[in-house]
Amino acid sequence: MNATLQGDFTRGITAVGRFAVNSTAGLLGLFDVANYIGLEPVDEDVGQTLGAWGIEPGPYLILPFLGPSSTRDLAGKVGDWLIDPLGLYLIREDYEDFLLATKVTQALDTRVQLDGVIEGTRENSLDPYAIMRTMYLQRRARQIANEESEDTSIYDIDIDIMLLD
Amino acid sequence: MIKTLKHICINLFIMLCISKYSYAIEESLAVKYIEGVGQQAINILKTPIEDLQTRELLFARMLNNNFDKKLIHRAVLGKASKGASPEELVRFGKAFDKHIVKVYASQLGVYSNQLFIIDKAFNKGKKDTIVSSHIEHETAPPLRIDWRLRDRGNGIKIIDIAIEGVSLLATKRADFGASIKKGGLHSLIIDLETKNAENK
Repeated sequence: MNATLQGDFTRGITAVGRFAVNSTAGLLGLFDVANYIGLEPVDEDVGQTLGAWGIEPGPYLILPFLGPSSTRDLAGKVGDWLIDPLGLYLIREDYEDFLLATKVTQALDTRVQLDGVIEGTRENSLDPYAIMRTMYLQRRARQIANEESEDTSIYDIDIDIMLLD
Repeated sequence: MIKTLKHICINLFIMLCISKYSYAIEESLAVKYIEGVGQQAINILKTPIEDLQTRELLFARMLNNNFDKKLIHRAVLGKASKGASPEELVRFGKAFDKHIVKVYASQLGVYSNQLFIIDKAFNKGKKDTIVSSHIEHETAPPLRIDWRLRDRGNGIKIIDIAIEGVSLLATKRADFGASIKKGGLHSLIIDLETKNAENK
């Protein structure tokens, strides 16, 4: 859905294909069969869609449990929850506790995955806050431009201006 | 007015000096160059993590031979390098290189059958060539690495690396900003040397 909203119909079709394959041959998503047949995961979210529409990240935020974010990506997270079919189902059936547990588990999982980077950054940098901020914003810029695109802000860094600025 | 003109002239002169010999590298040459660098990186990964001394030695060799350190030092410092004495710049260069070697030699991880794959190369502007690559591993998502190359008349050199879209130059510049603001280049050198001593 997000890929389509960003005008990236190829990735949109890939996402629909993955859903169709994994929900049938993948036994309701238990196995990632789609990946085996070349339909790679499409990692998109509402924050990226807002970015693709030209909305700037705004002030950088650090959210409890959710970690680094920006005002745009915070709005995107709310959007992600609103369009998550499982989340909507759990709310409708009064299983908000399950939804909360899922989100907390996801947040913990992300924190564990990034543990090496976070601890390494804290240990080795002079200004861990500034470094986490720039890493987050650069990473999101790359995700919005899509990983394989040549049109990303990283390549637009003008090193000659950096020398003088 | 005269001061502004003088400032513009100095900036133009520096721009000319920097750009005089720079030109984009032929894409096939850039790919070949990064293949060689990738092999060196794999050799570092193959060195046991406990043997930090050898890792640091190999990484320092790669940094010295393949990176345009002079340009990187100045890009990281920006205008903080203006007015600095040659001795201060040399001292900063030493502290910065040591810092980078320590950070990367200890955080690069270990070799476990990863594959280093080059995806493509393309010219960016008149001076730079970008080589996109990724490291493939059976049990982990691919790690994307982009290399920015420039030839300033002394052979192909790496001037920036972006790992998963995060640029080394931009990140280190952000890291050093507060220290420079506090007390200029001198303060940054002291902070870096202290950090290097702590991480021994």
